[in-house]
Amino acid sequence: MTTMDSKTMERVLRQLLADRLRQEVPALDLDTDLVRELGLDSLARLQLLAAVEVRCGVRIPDRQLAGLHTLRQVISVIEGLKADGGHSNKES
Amino acid sequence: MNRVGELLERSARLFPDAPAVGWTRAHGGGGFTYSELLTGVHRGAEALTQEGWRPGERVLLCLEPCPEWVAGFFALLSSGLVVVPVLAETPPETLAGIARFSGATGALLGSRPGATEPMLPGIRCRFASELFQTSIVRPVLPNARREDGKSPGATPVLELSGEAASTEAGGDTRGPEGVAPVGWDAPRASRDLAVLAFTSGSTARPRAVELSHANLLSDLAGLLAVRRTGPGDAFLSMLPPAHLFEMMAGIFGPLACGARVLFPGPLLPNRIIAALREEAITHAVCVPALLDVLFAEVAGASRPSFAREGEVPEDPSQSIRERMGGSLRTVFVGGAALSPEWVGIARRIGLRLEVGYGLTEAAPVVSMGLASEGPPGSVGRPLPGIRVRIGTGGEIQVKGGNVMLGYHNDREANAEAFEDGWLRTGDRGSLDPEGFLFVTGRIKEAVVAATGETFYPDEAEPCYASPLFREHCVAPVPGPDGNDVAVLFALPASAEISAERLQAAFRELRAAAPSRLRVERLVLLGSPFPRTATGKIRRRMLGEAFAIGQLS
Repeated sequence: MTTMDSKTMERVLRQLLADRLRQEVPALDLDTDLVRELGLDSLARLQLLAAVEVRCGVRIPDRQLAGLHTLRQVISVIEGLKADGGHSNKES
Repeated sequence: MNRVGELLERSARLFPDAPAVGWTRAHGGGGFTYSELLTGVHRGAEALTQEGWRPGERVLLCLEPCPEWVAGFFALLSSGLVVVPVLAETPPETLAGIARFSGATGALLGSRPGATEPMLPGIRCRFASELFQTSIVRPVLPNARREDGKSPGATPVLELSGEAASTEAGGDTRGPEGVAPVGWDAPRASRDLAVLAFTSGSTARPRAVELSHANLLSDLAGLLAVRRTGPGDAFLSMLPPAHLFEMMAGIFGPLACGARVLFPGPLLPNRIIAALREEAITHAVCVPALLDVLFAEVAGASRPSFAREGEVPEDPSQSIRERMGGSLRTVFVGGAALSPEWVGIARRIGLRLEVGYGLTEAAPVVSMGLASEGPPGSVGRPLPGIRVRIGTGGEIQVKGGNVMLGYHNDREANAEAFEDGWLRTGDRGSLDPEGFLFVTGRIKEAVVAATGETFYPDEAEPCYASPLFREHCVAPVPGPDGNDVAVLFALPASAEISAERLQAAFRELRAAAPSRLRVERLVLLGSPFPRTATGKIRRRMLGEAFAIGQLS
């Protein structure tokens, strides 16, 4: 996976989320809470994050996983990881 | 064997250098061999005793699933303390309620000092990271060579398994029924309280099951008499260890046999599949909902679409096995009903599915069997040493050394829990002439989802109170997979209120409710709820009537 700008990443995330929800989510606000407001259950949230990792070729550090509740937060973490040169496998 | 802690002592004698518990390498690796684990446990127990923790005191064990959870559990038991296992993500106020109800005087917590402590006034808090800091934490490689050049996998398991012994590592041997492996003298085991397991932590209705050392050892003896593992086998621990099913079938069972237990960290399906491959995992314990998610990840298709022949190109089973690394042999499934499609899928991908039935009150496994061997839909045969009968109203009832001492401080629940000395499970079922058990429905009102998560309707109902409803209740509706779907039934306060307004109010209430208490949908009724003679709402009846279309 090479470079992906914010807009592309947003489109990809919306598509992955739509796949999970089995419905389009074009109008979804980037700050909508995926679990609390969108009704994603905890397993579906993990499935979404797994799809994000595979699609974007990153490994999200564990300590950041728990704090990911909105698409904006996911985009920000992925961009941070890309800027750091791909992915981080090691952590405490 | 009298006390649960002895199982670890014996394994440390038999398999000192074999890896016991650890993290997956993708999660940083590291862990303890059996002798290191036991050393850590002894040091931890000594420290606790020196600090004045006294036998019989209750201690919350509230940690992320990790090797230190296991060390902590055994350290507490070794000090004669009673373990109160609690999910790591338990909100602080619930934790405080659990501490009050259980009479806990101490807590062993995760590695974030300060986060939870203020919520537990008057309770001694220790952090696992501090308690075990003196222990050696280093990477343990799978099948690590001993200094004498022997692989720990070659250690015979004769002493463990008696006449039914298999010296072959990893043999899923079926022992003769009714014969417990040598050394498991469950009837003489201690009746002391070992674990206080909460089945509901809600402040409105806390419920905790008292399990003795004898209860846990009896169930373990039954499990190991039927299915044993050995050194060289690797279990991936995916469910919370605070759940009895994972604790017993996924952690203590393998540790009694010299197998290794690995913790993968966050349960992202892609990482789980990678861990199966990278760690040569042979066994796992699972709930149906997680099994479906993992399958979708590895097959690129959902279970129903895979089960429909012809919709899947050629024979994908080979590639599915490869993607899982080819070493996963056995998955124990319990906690909720498994869709019957899984029997065929497991056969096609060469996976042994052990389907079990149990409940916390029975420590927990009652029956277990290979899905491919039993009649379709059965949950295996009762474990050796456990008797099952079908009682009043078709209820599955259980007797044996595994049956709980009782509910903690709950006279009313204890009065209802037994019938002529048999544990009432609250589940409806049947036994066929060959002794296979079938679960056909539920009598109790608890909602059991496909994730194995259970809650009582009266825990959830306060979340859905609204002036727009004259009355409301949460009831389990039997779903197509045999698991419950929680539904809110409500009688509008007046006929003037539009359905849209009611549904909007419901959406708001649902969003505000804790996620485990979120119900699937709102169903509006035109007439009052069915009630018992004493005025209690008949929730099961309501849910079943809705499921078969008797309500609109």
